[in-house]
Formats: sequence, C-alpha cells, structure tokens
Amino acid sequence: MRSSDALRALTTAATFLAATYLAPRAEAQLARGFALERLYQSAPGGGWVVMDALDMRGGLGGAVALTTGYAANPLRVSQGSQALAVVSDEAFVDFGFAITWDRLRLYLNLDAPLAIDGDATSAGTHVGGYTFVSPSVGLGSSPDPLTDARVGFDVRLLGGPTSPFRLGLGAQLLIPNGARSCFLPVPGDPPVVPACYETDGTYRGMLRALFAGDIGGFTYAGQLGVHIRPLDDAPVPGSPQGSELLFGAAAGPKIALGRGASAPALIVGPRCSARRRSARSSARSPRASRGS
Amino acid sequence: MLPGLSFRHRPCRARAWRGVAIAAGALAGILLATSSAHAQAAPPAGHQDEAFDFMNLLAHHDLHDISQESWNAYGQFTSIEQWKPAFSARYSGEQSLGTAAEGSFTETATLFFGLRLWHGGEAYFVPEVISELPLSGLHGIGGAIQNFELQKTGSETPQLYRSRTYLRQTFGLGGGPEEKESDPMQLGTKVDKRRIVFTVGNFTILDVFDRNSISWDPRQTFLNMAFMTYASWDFPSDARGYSWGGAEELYWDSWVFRLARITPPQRPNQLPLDLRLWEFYGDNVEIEHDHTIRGQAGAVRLLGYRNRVDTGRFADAIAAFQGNQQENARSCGPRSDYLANPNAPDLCWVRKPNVKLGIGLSVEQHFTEDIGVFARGMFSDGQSEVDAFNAADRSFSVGAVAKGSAWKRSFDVTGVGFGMSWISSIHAQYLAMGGVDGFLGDGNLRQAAEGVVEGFYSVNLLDAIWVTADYQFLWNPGYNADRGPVNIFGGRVHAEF
Repeated sequence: MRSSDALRALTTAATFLAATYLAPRAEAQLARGFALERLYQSAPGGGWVVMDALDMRGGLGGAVALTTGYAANPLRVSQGSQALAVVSDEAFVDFGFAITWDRLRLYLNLDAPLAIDGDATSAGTHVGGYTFVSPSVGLGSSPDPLTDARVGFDVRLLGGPTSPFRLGLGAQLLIPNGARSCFLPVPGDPPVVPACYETDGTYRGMLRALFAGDIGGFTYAGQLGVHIRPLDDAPVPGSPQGSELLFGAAAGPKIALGRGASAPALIVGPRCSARRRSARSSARSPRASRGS
Repeated sequence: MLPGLSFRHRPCRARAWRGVAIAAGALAGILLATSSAHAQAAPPAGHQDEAFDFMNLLAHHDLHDISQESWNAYGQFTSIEQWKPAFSARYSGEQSLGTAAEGSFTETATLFFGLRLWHGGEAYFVPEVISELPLSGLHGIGGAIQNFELQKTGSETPQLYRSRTYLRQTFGLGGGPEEKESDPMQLGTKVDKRRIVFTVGNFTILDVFDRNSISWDPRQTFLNMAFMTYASWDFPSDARGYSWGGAEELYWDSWVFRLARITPPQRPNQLPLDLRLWEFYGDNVEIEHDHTIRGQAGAVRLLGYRNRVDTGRFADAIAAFQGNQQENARSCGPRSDYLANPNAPDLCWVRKPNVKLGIGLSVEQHFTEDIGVFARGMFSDGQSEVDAFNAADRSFSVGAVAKGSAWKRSFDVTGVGFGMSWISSIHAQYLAMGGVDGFLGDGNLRQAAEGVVEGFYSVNLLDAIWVTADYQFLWNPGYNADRGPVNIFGGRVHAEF
C-alpha cells in the first residue's frame, strides 16, 4: 500500500470513528431524576415540624402521625428565555410511627406520593441540550407507591424532659424505594406510567445535633446537622450537588390546651430551617431551581 | 387459622427476647431486603394466641389493653421457595409453562398498623415489601397458580409498596356483645352482634369477602391459589390484587350480608386503576350464614359478582381476526399487553366496556376443634378475558386442614386439597387458534380440565416461626391435555411478631 493510500484510509477511519463517537453527543441527553421531596418532618410526637422537642419521658409510649404537603413548581429548569416546570405539582402524604422509651424516640416514616406532575411531554421536552420527561403519578396510575423509607432515632443526652436546655442527638437512615428516572417511551411497546423524581436510588443518612428547652411559657428548639447524599441531585450539570448541611431554629409561646404535663399544647412562633449545599455553575448548562 | 385454639400464655423472658430477635430480623427484612419481591392480596390469618407477638408482650407488662385497643401493630415475614422438575409437552407457545426444570420464589415482609380514630372508627395502614420470581413469567397455568403470593408486577428487586390504607366504621345495632380479638388489621374490641360495618379506601376485596376461616392465607396453609379463594372469581383489582372502593356489611345474628363496589384496572392485568367508579367497576354481593353442627362451627356463603370493565370478548376477537387477518397480535402495537402471535386472534382489537358475571358457593365445617374442611365452587360466564385475577372460568376446590394437637404439636398445621378449574368453549377456541390472554398461550390447545392436588405440613418452631414442606401435582396445565403433568416441590418459612 502506498503511503498516500494509507493516509487516506487512516483519515477515513478517523473520520468514521469521530462521527460515531460524536454523533450521540449531538443528541439531547436524557436528564435523570432524584429525590425531589426533601421536607423531612420530625418524628411523630417530636413536637415541631422538622426538629425534636426532646421531651421524651417515662415508660413505653408512642405516637402516629399523618401529614400531607403540596409543592407548586418544585423543579423548574431554564436556559435563557426557555423555561420548563419539569415537576409542576407535587403532593405527598406521610405516615409516621414512633415509639418512645425514657429519653429515646425511635421512628419510621413512609412517604406516599399522591400526585407528581410536570409540563414536559411524555416524548421528552428539550431544554439546553437535555431532554426532560415529567412524571405523571396519581392514585389511578400508581395506586400504591411508597418512596424512600426513613428510620431514625432521637435521644436526649443532656437535661430533663422540661429543662430550660436539653441537648440531644438524632440520626436517620433513608432506604431507597420508588422510581428515580423517567424514560422515553419505546415505539411499539405498551405505554408505561412515568414515575420519577421519587428517590435518589441510593442509601442516605442524616446526623443532627438537637437542642430544645422550656422557659416558663416559652419554648424553643433547634438543629445543626448534615445530610449525607452520595448522589449528585442535579438533572443537569452545574446544579447543586451532594451532601447538605442542615440548620434550623424555632421558638414561641406555648399555650397549654389542657391540664397536666401530657396535655396538648399550641405553639405560636417563627420557624426557620435551611439546607446548604456546595454549588458549581456552568454558563452553558440549563439552570435548575427547586421551589417549595 | 382454625378457630378453637384459644389460650394466652405468659411469655417468659427468653421467649420475649427470641421474639424481639425475630421481629428485628423481620423489620430489617422489610426495610433492607435485597432479594426478590411479590405480594399476595389475601388477608392475613389471625395470630395464634399462644404465639409470640408484640401486643401480647405489651399487654403482659400492663403496657397495653389488648381487649380494648386504641392501636396495634403486627408484622410478618414469609419466604416461599418452589422447584419444578422438567416435564414433557407436545408443544409450547409464547405463554406456556416452560418444560425445563425451573425455580420460583416469593419473599414478603409486612407491617400491619391499626389505629382507633373515634367510637367505632378504625384506620389501617399496611406497608409491604415483596420480591419474587415466578415460574415461566407467571405463564402457562390457569386456576392452579402454585403460589398465591405471586403478583403480576413482581420483580426480584424488592419493592416497598402500600398494600392497604382504609377506614372502617362500625355502627352497633344491639343483639349483645361480641368480642373481636386483637389481630393484624383488627383492633381488639367489643362490637354488637348486630351491626353495620363500612370499609372505605384501598384494600383487597378478600379482606371483606370470602372470609373462609380454614384456608385463605398462603402464608399459613396451602400455597396454591386454587385453595385460597374461588379461582374463577375475576374480582377487579390492580396487578397486585388491591383496589380502591367501598364495602358495606350487615351482621344480623347468624347472617351476614355484604356489598362492595371496587375499581378495576385501566387495562386488563395492569397496575394502574381506573378510578371512574360510576363507569367501570366490580360489584360484589355475598350472603353468609354461620351455623353449628354438633357444637362445631361452620358457614355457608353465596357470592355473586358483576364487572363492568374494559375487556375483550373471545368471540369478538375471533371474528375480528377471521374478518381481517392483519388484525393480529403482532400488529396491535402499543395496545397489546401480552406477547404477540402474528398468526392468531388477539383481544387488543376488541376491547370495549363489557360485563362479566359469576356466582359461587363456599362451605366450611369443623369436625373437631382442630380439624376443618372446606369446599368452594364458582361459575363465571367465560365470555371475556380475565381482567384482574386468573385465567379460569369455572372452578371447584375441596380440602381439609388440621392442627397437630392429636400428636402433641398443637401449633403444627397440615392439610390436603384437591382443585379443578375449567374454561369456556369459546375461551378454549380462542386459545386453540393461538391466542393469548393474561396468563395462557400454548399456541394450540387440546382442551381439558386443569387439576391440582396439594399437601403440606408446617412445623412450628420457637412459637412464632413455621417451616413448611409442600408438594403439588398439576395435570393439564393451562387446560391443555398435551402438556404435563407437573410436579412442584416447595418450602416455606413464615414468622410472625
């Protein structure tokens, strides 16, 4: 073979390989899902929305809780003037069960999605080089789903059940369950109910330092912790990712609705809780934002 | 569970710790299970009073009023392994029971939570994990599917799901008190013998209807579905066996009248449910009479059902195919839910709102405190495809269950049963032309009744664990005289806490 022929063959092969390698990259990449619902409520009987009053006492006790929540546009992506509510409506109901003993509270929480919907089409909507498929979860299409199961404990380490300052520790394990990503329909196959954005698909954990107290008719609580998430939760590169730091504080007057230490009480006051994550940005990637 | 044995024991410390270990293991199994999953829709059997459970333990320590409960919590774990040696068949189709040796399993772990809301009002919540591997993709067997735990949507990857969430409201009408013992999905309480009970929410119709006290729970007695309920009762449900809807029961001395309307699947044998209960539904009616003969309890139940669901009729599918042979399964595209035979009729072309009817009779009778027999028979019209349960149009089963009191093993359970099921002639013609339905499709058919004989022995260990050996003999699988017979050997480990 002459050198010019060899060069031509080599050029042809290189062109073919480059075309083969680069062709898929020209197509929109399907964005993967993650656990979108991350308002992790306190254990049943915990006394606050996400923290713990650390007022466990006495022998064996327990509590159950049924709570529900709704989020409007919890996940939007945008690039330039193009915007898409990947998840536009999200409603969950949370079943909680707790057992208390002395200064320990053990609990199990199970989240059931009632509705998860979005504006992307089932064939996928393109934004910034990515294809998004929205979930379409409802009682009819998905009659019995449960998402990540959450088991945990809170324990009071310092102080009594009514002390002005109580210090405790909490830990939770989140066990993956449910659908992470929606997929594009396969031509010729029966349609599949799209379910996604329910889970990270990985085990996760939370460690929290908890504090609380009662001073006369005034009560307060707070937390500082870390949420260990192995998964990059970003549907596109450049969004926040990884583990989170957890902060929270709440306080207010406590109005007893009965007599005795175990009487129900109404607490009126502000609550502030937040998560902070590491962030990287990319000017060329669509931007994801989470509302609540 | 057979009624009769009723004695509470004092759990000693060793038993308590053993129970705690069982419970911890089962709870870990629920949350961390890593093998397969599939779940059944049958209601749980009652706990044996002498066996370990948390509620008895709490009650023993004066921490819980088990006779008048405001809440309760129970759990169970069941692992079923089965193996089928190779068998002979003159031919096989796309949805045949495979002739090669094959294994199958299910593993389930369940928590049962109950909560009293107000006077007469109760709420129940039942999460469950299931992992499963059916024989031949759950194909090739009609009314004698070898393990009632198997679900149509199961996979080897464990799936956590919410099997039941429902409210129950009881209105007393007098007639004297009747004690309801604490059990899974039953708060310990006293109710009037005459009462109306409403159940609303997400449940299986088997939680309310066909409450045979001798054989209905594959975790404790027989494994084969032929003995769990009427094999030809095509009650609407999702692919796991659960529905949304409401049921009403009137208890009046020795009589019980039941009515229910429940949701069908959007498409036959799929998980999504059609919630338009005014348009598509399954209506069920049951009359029960309880009696005693020579002091032993018995019951007779008459059950009827009427489904209005989106299904295909076999005659319509055959006519469509004969009119235009391009309208076969392969050309159905996304409308086809089953495997496709390009040379056969398919139901996907003719699905429309259809009515399906059936009527059944169930009898149970105890001969002694520890020995009971049962029989069930049902006739369904057999004109349209199976919508939610299994491919049987007529069925009959009879069996006996005994506890081991006679040989001083009072927690041991043994039983033997015989079941037969049939399909209608038009159903058989459809299959013989190579058609497929939710479970069957041998490509051809030499019609015969499908039969099964099952025997099992369950050994109790540590008060709360049962280990079972099971054998089943099936003949004419898929109503096809050209296939089988089939031997199925099984084992089961079941724990309660």
